[in-house]
Amino acid sequence: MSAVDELARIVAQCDRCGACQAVCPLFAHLGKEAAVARGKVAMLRAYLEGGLGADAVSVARALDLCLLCQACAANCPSKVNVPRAVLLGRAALAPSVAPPRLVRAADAALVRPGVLALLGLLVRVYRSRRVYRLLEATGALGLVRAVAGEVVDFLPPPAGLPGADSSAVAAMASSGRAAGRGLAAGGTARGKVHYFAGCLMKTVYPHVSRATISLLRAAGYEVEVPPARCCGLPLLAHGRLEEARRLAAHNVAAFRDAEVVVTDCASCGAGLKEYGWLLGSDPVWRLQAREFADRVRDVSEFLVGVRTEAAPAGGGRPRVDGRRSGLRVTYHDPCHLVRGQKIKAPPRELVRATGVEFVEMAGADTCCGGGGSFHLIHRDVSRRILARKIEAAEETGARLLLTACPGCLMQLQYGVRRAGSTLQVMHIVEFLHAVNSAGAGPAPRAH
Amino acid sequence: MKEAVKRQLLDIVGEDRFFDQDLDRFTYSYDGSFLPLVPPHLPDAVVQPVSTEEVAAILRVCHAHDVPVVPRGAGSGRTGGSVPVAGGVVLSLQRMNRILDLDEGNMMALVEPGVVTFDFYQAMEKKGFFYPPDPASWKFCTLGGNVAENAGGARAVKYGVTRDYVMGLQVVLADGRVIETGGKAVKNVTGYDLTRLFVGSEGTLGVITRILVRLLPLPPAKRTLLLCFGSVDDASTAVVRMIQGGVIPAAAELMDRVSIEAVARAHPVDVPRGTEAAVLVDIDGEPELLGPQARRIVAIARDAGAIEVREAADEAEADALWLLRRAMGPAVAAMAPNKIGEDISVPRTAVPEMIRRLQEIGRRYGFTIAIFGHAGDGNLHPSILTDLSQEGNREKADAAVAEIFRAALQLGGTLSGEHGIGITKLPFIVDALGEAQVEVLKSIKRALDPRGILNPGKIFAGGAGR
Repeated sequence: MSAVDELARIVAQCDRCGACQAVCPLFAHLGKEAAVARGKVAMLRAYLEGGLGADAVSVARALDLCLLCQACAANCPSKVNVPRAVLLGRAALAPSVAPPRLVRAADAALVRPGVLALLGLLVRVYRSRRVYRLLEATGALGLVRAVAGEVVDFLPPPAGLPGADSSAVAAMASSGRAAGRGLAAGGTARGKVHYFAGCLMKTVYPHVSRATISLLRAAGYEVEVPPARCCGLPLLAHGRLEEARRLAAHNVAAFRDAEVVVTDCASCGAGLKEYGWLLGSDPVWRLQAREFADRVRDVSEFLVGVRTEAAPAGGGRPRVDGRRSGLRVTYHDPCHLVRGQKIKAPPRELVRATGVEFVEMAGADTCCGGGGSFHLIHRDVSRRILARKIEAAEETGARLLLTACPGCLMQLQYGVRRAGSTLQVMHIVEFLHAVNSAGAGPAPRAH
Repeated sequence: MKEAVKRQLLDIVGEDRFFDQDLDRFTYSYDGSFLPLVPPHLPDAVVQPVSTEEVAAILRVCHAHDVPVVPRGAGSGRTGGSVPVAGGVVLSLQRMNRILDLDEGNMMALVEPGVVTFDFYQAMEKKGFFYPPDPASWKFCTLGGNVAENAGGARAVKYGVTRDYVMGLQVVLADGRVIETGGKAVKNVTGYDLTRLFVGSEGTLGVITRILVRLLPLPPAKRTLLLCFGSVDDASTAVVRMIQGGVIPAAAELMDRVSIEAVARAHPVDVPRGTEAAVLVDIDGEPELLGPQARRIVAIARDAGAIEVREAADEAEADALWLLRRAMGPAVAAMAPNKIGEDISVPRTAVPEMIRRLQEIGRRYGFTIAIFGHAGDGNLHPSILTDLSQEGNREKADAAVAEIFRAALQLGGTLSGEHGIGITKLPFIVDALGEAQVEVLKSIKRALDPRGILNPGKIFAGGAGR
């Protein structure tokens, strides 16, 4: 089935009941029909049927105003796959619109591993304390902002500087109050896993990657890191279907030997798990892609499985007694984990198992407003959604806000800095790694 | 739209709440009805007022320039009520969404029309009050739309419909004057009952800007049962006997096999083999009375031939059973490219005969017709499943719908239980009411809207003025 046929089939399933109005985060803030799933589906249908009376550019713009958070699809009585329709619609309309400069630049970087590596280096330099201070003192920080735009605002400042991650967990860990029943470090290898390092992980959060790898090793697994390319999701979201397919094919090949593919990026995970669909019409890759997708696990999904498996033996399970730490923790569900991969319980289970106090925040599974590059393009509404999210996290009285996707991480850290909140935002593996290392030695710094 | 009108409307609501771009106009050209999307019924502009004063000012402008005004809530109506068939201005009331007052002593609340029904229900529940009307769309439809369409819901069998809870209204008339009908006095025979006139008027007589509703105490307990039957007749008989026997369920929802199978495609559904019809029953009240009531219902159901009776053990199970019903409309729609959903209402005892006739009509025209609805009050939602892009299906479907309406009228029923007439049932209004009565409706319309600017082209053909 061609992309346009598939799009037509999806949009025909909507009976326009309007149920998406109750859950769409954009509709809640913008209050107009063009912002809600029904509006987008209707305009796509009318566009395909040739009676819309609006030009392709305005449809493309309207489609652009979607977080791809999947709340509409999850609550749709007819199970209309609106996010997929939006992706296919963006692809169909891509030839008629020029994307914003920022999006073009990001896409260009994502398909070039060399550029990506260079960016990673730049981020590292920027985040080194000495360089940052120098930039600040000379006023060059303003220059950096002028060149790189708002992107810079989303980068976490270096550790130890105002606005950076304070290190609640590290403090808790090094205080020795955690009980220190760590993982059965370096035990007999139980098998091998292949780690999929997403682009954001590589460039902005390499320390999270390291935490994931060492958690997997501590759980008794040999970890291999094949040369992954971008998972393709950002390109797909920008209507570049063919490039996304090429990247997918590359990754399927690169992980050909993998029994299990583990990722700590919810968005990559959701993207990878959709490879069966993405390459579904490709006669060469179709079967392999489907098999590959079946082997992908989010890190929390994988670790919970390990826990269950290992429970009788008692060894190798990431469990540390954090009861006496007095640390209260809450968790934000990444859209691409809770809906994209239907993973809700595992991260909570892992956090609870450490014994810290876990408090559910209101609307934990509503989008943080990040949405890939959405937050850079639609800044106003993104910030409004984000502000509500941070409020909800604050209301729990938690000191630590965990999540499981670098996209959310970046957005939430930005939100916390913007709100002047003292909340600390962390990827769940950073937290687990810190509590697990507590007994075994000095905790890793957040940076 | 004339530049002068646009400028005046912009002066009233400002740029943020005025839309006239092609795409925005398109997205306010449809509602939840099965009317085709294209060619679209484009409004000239969409405005989103936030106060009665703004609504009044907008109406004064539109009245002066003969511009049609179409009030709209969530656009979730099923009969085209908010579709701007004559162009003009769509008056989107979703931003008027405040609960203005809760008078606990008199057990009444004052709300704006854009409040989402479920949000209101929950807000009242928190205070220990109960607002019973629960249309299937309550998670996203608005109270203003509920009043304008006189929405019903599953609880109607015991608690009545929206009309039964509206004590008073603030209405902006076609020329921009504001009136307040009814009030907190329970007994009130001062003048004509204009409150009841505006309830169900589908936006053709005035724009509702405030609603005073009465509330009940929250029933302390609730139980949910699913009764499965080998035939629709048995199911209907059980419901009739329940009510006759003094066990009035808070809901008694009938679902036929086709409808159950539709939901089963997307959700886990567990009914025994041979189920031709199921009835979802809620009972509510004092907890100690519910046990005996549940036992009587089970006995009556078994006596009527139920093949299985299941009671939800807890709230989660009750919710799961209710999902079956709430997901039904759209799930049935997803079974075919087009669903023509109807909303006929017949006397309770005529339900089995009505269903027989529906099935016969379906066979004769070669359509699958899914049937679900509110067995307790005789309001059925037969849905013709078809593909209108296939040659001849449109004509066949129109003929089948006409026969369905005729059958409902013959059995002492009516065209619409809770969706209103809108555009989709307009051709049948004379059959249902007769010439003289439709003339009365038109006289009322002329008296209140002499220029015919309020939601023109709805309910009856040839409205005044246009």
